[in-house]
Amino acid sequence: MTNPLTMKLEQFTRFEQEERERLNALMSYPTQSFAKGETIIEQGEKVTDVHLVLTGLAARSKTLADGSRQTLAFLVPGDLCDVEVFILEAMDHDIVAMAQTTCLLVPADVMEELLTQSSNITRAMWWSTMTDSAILREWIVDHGSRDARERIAHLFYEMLVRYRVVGETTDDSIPFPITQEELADATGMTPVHVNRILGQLRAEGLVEIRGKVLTILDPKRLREVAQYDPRYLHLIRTERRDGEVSSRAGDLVGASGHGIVHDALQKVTGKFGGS
Amino acid sequence: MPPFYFHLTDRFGAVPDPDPRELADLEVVRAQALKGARSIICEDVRDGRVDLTGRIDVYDGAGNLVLSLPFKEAVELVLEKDGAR
Repeated sequence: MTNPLTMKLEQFTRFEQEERERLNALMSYPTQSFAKGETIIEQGEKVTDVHLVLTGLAARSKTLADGSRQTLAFLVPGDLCDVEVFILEAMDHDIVAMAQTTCLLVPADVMEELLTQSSNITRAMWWSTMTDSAILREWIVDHGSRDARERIAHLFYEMLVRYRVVGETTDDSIPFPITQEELADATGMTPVHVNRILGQLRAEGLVEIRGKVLTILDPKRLREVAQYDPRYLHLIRTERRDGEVSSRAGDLVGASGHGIVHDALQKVTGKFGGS
Repeated sequence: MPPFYFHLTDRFGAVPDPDPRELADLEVVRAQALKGARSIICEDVRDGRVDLTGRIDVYDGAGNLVLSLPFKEAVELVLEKDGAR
């Protein structure tokens, strides 16, 4: 099985064959499956293994005093539930399975060794951590400054890009195992309000939700509705990408000034076989 | 806990609720309907136009209507200084 973490990191990093093998070798560690709603890591727990989401969907969430939840992030395949989490004495939030989810459990010392032996992998992990923080910053902007429609449109577009990056989808459809109540917990809205916004987006021909699949019917218009600027995902480091690795989300994050320049650079360097 | 569907009808039309929520009793159902209606009214206020013609109809798992909450019952409007509605 391909390691979705390698899939993610290789979008921005040119790995040596040996580094790629080291990353893929992580797949020999044990996995654990969680049913929808099950807690993967509980607040207060001392974590000894680094959890990597292999399949399904997980969420970081806080439970409030009245029992309600606020979701702080979604974790798709290829996402780590914090690469340095073993440094902490106790988790400050829960990680919950939002669908049937499988995690790879990498022992902390293995992860530490990996981070100290290859600077390429270490840098890629830094990139990954920085991007996680950037996604969280967008979450804050969502709650503070975007209206309900923009917020949901922004989340959907971001999820499409992230699923594409790890090759979980190749078109404009993504797994959508979450209920409206769970989407409400993630957007700071009420479920009734989420329902109204989804109804509007459907009526406008922007999205379709069928079964557990969300299809973005018109990515270009949804991107406009969300006023989506993909720079926070730092997908710009494409110059680091191995020419053999395809840009899986290029069509979604291009068209901004930076994207065009980098795509052009990519073409030029590819043409002359440059590094 | 039993499932409840919160169907919404507003100026955009009827939006059925595809995901039932499991709630303890009708008191919680009413509180959730109020919260939902108020959140939608809030969003309208941001746009400068308050439309109170919508309503939320809550059905139980057997398809019985258990609550109909018109938006205008979800908020108290104070339009005069003496508190007259």
